[in-house]
Amino acid sequence: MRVLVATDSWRGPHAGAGLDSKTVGTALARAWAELGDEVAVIPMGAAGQGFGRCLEQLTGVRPLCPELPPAGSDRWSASSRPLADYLREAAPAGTQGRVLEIAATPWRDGGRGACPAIEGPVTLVTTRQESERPLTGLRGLVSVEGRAEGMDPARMLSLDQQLCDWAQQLTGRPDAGTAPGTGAAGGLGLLVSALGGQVATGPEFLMDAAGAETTAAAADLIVTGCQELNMMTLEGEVVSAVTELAGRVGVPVIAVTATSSVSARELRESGLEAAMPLGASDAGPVARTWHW
Amino acid sequence: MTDTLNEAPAVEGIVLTDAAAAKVRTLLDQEGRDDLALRLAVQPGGCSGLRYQLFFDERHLEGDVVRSWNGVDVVTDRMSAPYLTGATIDFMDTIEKQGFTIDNPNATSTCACGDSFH
Repeated sequence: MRVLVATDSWRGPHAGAGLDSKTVGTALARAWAELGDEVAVIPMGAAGQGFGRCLEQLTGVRPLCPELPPAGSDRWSASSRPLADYLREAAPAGTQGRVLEIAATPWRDGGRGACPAIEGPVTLVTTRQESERPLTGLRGLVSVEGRAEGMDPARMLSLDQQLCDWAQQLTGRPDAGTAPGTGAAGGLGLLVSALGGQVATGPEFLMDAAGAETTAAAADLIVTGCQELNMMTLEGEVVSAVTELAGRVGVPVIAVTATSSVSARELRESGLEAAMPLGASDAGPVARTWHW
Repeated sequence: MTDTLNEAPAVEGIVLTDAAAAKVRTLLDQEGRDDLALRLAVQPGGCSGLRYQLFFDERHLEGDVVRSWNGVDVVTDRMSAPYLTGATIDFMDTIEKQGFTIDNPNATSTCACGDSFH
């Protein structure tokens, strides 16, 4: 049989760096390989949680990954100019065709400050939440974060309008910032889309780069997992992306983990056939159970 | 003999029924205020994703959309307006229901509390 392994890294609450996705995946794949099965391993990681390393393992190229401070109370006046400085140094040959990994930013300027240093289509890889976020409008970044801060409505509308004006400058349409993903990375998503690039999540990009859809369709079993499976990690980016992939191609998917506290009913609802917590043992018994 | 088709006027913005306008007039007169408008806003949240806010407001915000009904100004902000085109504010005073109601053709589903829609 053919088994595709695409697991998250194992990073628990214990001290230490944990095990990266490729290490865990390879160890799991070995259990099936020892039974004579064909195995494929795709390293998987979310933006800010191992994506860069996975991309390098898969393609030999690291993404551009600026180190950025978290957003503070000055987020509405902060500029994305530090990104321009970073890009000039890290990508002297230009940014065309590059992958930019950014999970969170201290700015909300729609990429205005970074604009001079970004040319041509780039791919912005970010978290799932960011990749769905619009920039302007009721559900946009300004509205949601502004309301959470208890911002004065007049100021909120004004900040939103400024970004609508920026959207108009970039695309000719003031409502361009209402599209999902334009709010990613403090509005950098808007600039990236306006330049013909795309906004994606780590798992999406890695699966695409690895041709996962084709491999998964040819598989008999898909294996994913994380260190600890619980009601929160069940919705983790990697586990849910792989489970959705399995659903699309109609192949059973199981999660192999160190521990699991999810009920069978919740597992089935999420699309997983089963969770197989290893505890102290290796994956041999799991592979023998899920082998045909 | 020719048929005459009466086209209903295209409704943009928010509609306030006569009953609702009369009720608002009464409430404003009780307060002794003639500088207040009835503001209908949408905010993210609630069990279905969006919720209404209906209140009297003296402010004028940048980009506000205002319509007058029987001397009562109904106002909504620029962000909420796209979600409220054609919404109707009515006032019911029956044994089953007392209070202002909002009928919004944009809402694809509402929740049981009636407060939230999406």
